[in-house]
Amino acid sequence: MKIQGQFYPEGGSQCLLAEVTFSQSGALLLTVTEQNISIQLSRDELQIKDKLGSIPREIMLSGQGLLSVDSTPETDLWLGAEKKSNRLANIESNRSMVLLSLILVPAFLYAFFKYMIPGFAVHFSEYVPEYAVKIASEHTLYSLDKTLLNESEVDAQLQQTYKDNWQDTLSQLTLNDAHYNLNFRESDKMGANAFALPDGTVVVTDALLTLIDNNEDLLQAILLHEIGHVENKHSMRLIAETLATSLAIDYFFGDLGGMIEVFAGLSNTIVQNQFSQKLEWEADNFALEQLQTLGLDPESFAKAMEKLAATLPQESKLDALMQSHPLMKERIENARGRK
Amino acid sequence: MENTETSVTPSVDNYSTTHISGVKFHGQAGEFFSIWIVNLLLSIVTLGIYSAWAKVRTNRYFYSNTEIDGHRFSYLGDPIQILKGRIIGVILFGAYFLASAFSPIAALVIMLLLLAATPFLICLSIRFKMRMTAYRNVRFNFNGSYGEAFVMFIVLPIASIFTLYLIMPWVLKKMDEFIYSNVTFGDKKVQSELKTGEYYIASLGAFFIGVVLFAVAMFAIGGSLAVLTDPEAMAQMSYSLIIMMVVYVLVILLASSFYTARIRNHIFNHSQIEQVASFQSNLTFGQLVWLRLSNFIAMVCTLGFAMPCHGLMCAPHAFMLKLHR
Repeated sequence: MKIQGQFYPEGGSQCLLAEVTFSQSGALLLTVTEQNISIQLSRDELQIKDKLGSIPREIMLSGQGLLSVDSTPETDLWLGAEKKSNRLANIESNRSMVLLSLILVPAFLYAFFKYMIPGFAVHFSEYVPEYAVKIASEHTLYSLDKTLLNESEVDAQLQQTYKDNWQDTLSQLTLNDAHYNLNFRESDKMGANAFALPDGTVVVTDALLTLIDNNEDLLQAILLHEIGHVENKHSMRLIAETLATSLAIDYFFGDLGGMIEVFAGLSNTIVQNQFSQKLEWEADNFALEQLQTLGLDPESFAKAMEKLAATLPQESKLDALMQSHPLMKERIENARGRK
Repeated sequence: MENTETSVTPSVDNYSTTHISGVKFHGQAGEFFSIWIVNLLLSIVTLGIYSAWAKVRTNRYFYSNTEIDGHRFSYLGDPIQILKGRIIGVILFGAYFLASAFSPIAALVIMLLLLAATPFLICLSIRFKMRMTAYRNVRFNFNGSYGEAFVMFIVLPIASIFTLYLIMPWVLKKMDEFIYSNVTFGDKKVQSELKTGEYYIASLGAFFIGVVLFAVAMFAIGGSLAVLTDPEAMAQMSYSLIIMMVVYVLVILLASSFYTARIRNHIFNHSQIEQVASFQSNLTFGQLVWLRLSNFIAMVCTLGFAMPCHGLMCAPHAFMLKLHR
């Protein structure tokens, strides 16, 4: 078979129009008549770049230069004869393979984010050493104290009563051996809020106590939710999930660049909110179970949520995608459903 | 897209005079989509390992479908090398992410280290990209030094803070100059003579477009919110949040397109590869906005399935070369 190709001799930007012959015996003969060039090589001596779509085929002529020829069925057949350089392109242009990918890509992505990443996160959280958790908690509390939190203005005696009652509650439950230290802080920026650090340090803001009218039943319900995060190692799981999601989105879709970043950023947020919401549900249900163990009414949890919901703007269905916590309405319904 | 004004005869060596050539792009959306989706499937089932091979195939598709003056570009990247880079990337990013998740203090230290390493990383990535690009079997290269990069990407931007960002357009010019005038094609250097004035026009223009549009949008949204003060309308809050996000994206799009179109034209119109080619670019603001906007809308409407078409549509626009021979 005889065709024309572009020959770029090594060591320059020269381009010559060449006549190329592919022989049945597997030899390639390249001639440029005006320049008296004639190169003959066997197929094993050629470095043939894999076929890709309909781009021209590039062939490195063992140190003598580059040959570029059009991708035609005949040429591809000859070039792919031994080294299987057409294999990937055949898969990529196979109609049933494309259809299969169209179905499997969304399915696998769903399974990957829904089951594999959370599963991996649970394993990861079990391998995080105790001291790392301790350092993480101490450093976090330290930086929060320096920035967002101030000393509590709640009466010291009252603080002690809350702490004693909390320890009393804890002693009635079977929990991991974390030390659930209760702390109080004042903060304008955080408002009515409570959070637990992964080592069991629980922080409640003064504004939250005011919001629940210093009702201890409601406080217990909220604290149980917070330690639900600690018991199930939620911080570590969220860390692993965030890391794995960012890497996966970057490596699956990162090649395309540009406005994709807005799109990828948005999907990243939505996926991570789903993870976070799942953890909140776990903590809610943990708190509700413990309330029942203690012989307390799950209603106190529902009431605490209602008080919090009153401070927030009304939620729409769209918020389920855009926020890290499940919809308040659903959380309250879930608590009432326990009775 | 402009076609070559010369015949497609590949042997450029016969030309004795200067001639002009456009950029031709041969990629086809359907063909690329099937390549992309199959590669994406392979990347997912191999938990990302195949993504290095997918990247090479994507790049080869774009490079080899781009033709100037009868010759295609080539992408020379090796998947194994990219895989190694990606493994190092995962380890570094993972270490950074975990360290910062465990300790905000460690995060601060690592951020400073990372900042110091930025010029190094910029040089490495440009160099890799250039070395992996060839045209007419001649490779591009990048010879920017780390020291100079440190001045351009760390010292000058920090210095500009103290001038209330007044010298920022000049700093942006210095950065571009550093990048472009250190590129070589074979043994020929790229020469670019960029003008500070153009960067001031582009930066200030983008800044004012951003500020004015944002103010108008906020005024309009604020007005419509004031009407809806009753509690039920508060449920509309999250919708107006979405509207705000869309407005934000649009404003950024318009402002950045103004800058990008102007600067791109300026860079190409004032750069040349010595004795090889000079460039002409006349991309308009409107063209760029339309290009980006239609991409974004296509992406949202197809739930991301138009993603691969994005690259295809971004292929060279309004671009010509003047080749010297």
